[in-house]
Amino acid sequence: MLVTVDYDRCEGHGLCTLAAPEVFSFDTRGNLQVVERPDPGHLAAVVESVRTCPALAIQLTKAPAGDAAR
Amino acid sequence: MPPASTGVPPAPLRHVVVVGASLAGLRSAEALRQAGFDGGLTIVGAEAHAPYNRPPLTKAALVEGPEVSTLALPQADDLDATWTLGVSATSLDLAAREVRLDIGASVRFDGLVIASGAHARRLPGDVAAPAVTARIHYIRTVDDATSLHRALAEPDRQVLVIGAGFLGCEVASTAASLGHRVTLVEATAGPMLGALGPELSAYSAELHRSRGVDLRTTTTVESLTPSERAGHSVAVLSDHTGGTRSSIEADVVVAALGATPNTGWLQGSGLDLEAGVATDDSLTALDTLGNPVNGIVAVGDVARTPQPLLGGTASRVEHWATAVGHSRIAGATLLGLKPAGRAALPSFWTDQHGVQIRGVGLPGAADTTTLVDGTPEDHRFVVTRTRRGRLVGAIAVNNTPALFRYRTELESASTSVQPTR
Repeated sequence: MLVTVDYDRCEGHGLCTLAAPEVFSFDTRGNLQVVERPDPGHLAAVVESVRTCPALAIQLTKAPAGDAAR
Repeated sequence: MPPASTGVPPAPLRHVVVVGASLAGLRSAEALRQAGFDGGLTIVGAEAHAPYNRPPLTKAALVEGPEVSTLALPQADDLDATWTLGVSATSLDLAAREVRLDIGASVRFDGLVIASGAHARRLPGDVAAPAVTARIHYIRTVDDATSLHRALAEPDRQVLVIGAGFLGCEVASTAASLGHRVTLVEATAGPMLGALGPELSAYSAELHRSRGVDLRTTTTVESLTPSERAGHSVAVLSDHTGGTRSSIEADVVVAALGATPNTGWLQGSGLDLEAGVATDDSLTALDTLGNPVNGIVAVGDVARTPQPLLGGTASRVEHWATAVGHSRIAGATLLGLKPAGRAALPSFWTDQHGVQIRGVGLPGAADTTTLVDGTPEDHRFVVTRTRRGRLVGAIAVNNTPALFRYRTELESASTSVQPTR
């Protein structure tokens, strides 16, 4: 899976960091960091973060072919 | 622990009806599927649109013009629901387990999710003359926002916003950013006073005024009548502190007086509808005797639910994140499962004049404010809100990450207190 954040939409609510702390986090300056290709085990948590983002700023897509080995 | 439901064991869940096709309804339907429900699912929505996100309606969408396509809420691909949009539920028959619709048909259910939301409270008829009522803008739906967007697309308008809660403040901020002259009228002593407390309210008042908004607190609209100029309205404002009256001629009038739960269709059903649909901790609806009604849950703005942070006192919490948090519990409850995790902590946000205000908990229920980080002068600070010495909420201005430790603290506070019901 490929997780991306649309930073033009992101309003910094941070609900994703609660839903999927292994994938989303704030750095010390308060910027949102995202693990774009997380472990597949985090899929449910990422789906939850997509649904709980008030700004609808998180996209989850299937990673392009060839990514499966990562 | 949720109290056990009374009566017979629940019938097998073959068909679930969700009344309300906005955030709470959609997420509840998804939660049911996620928890393994494979029966029939019917979603009834009064608006013609597929579920969309309302928060931008007072902000970006008001500037750019609302586009349902960009506002659409992301949906699970495998929802497999029957959508009945542009149709309102008109009554609920508990004995027949049936919802009647305004198109004359009825739908039977084994499980019902009441997610009918709330509507914008109207300006009373004794204030607004009949000739101006059609001209008053309200903010709830994308159609409301489209109409207000058009009105604000004209240059240099005199805009009157009645009510300085979250929505009124956001509309005032957006209108000011578009270069309009804005008067913001609030009956209490300050903007968002009930939700944020006096200190944050004073900060907000200062912010509005520094951006040119003519904020009138302790002021109510005595009358709203047509002006001699076509399409304009004259508002007579009454300041209760100074005892003075003034009048203002407005091109655009927006009433942001809060929301009323959509319980009209449930009148006479036997459910407790006082100030919203009363529920227990499992979100199961209660009847007028206080007994849980198996197979019926209420979620989102319409639901009056026990608040652990307030010792179990029930109230409606009209926050986006609350609707999402309810959905998981409601889905589990209908399926007879114990919800994983706990009730979501209330959290909310508002963006005004370029300032991000973020809150967690129920800061409106507090009696004391403590500045714990930063200063209001720098527009970057955090306050905690306590009630009889106990933390009930925290608010961050332009400093969202600082809120996280209070979120954790509030989460443990809301689980350590047993509801007093």
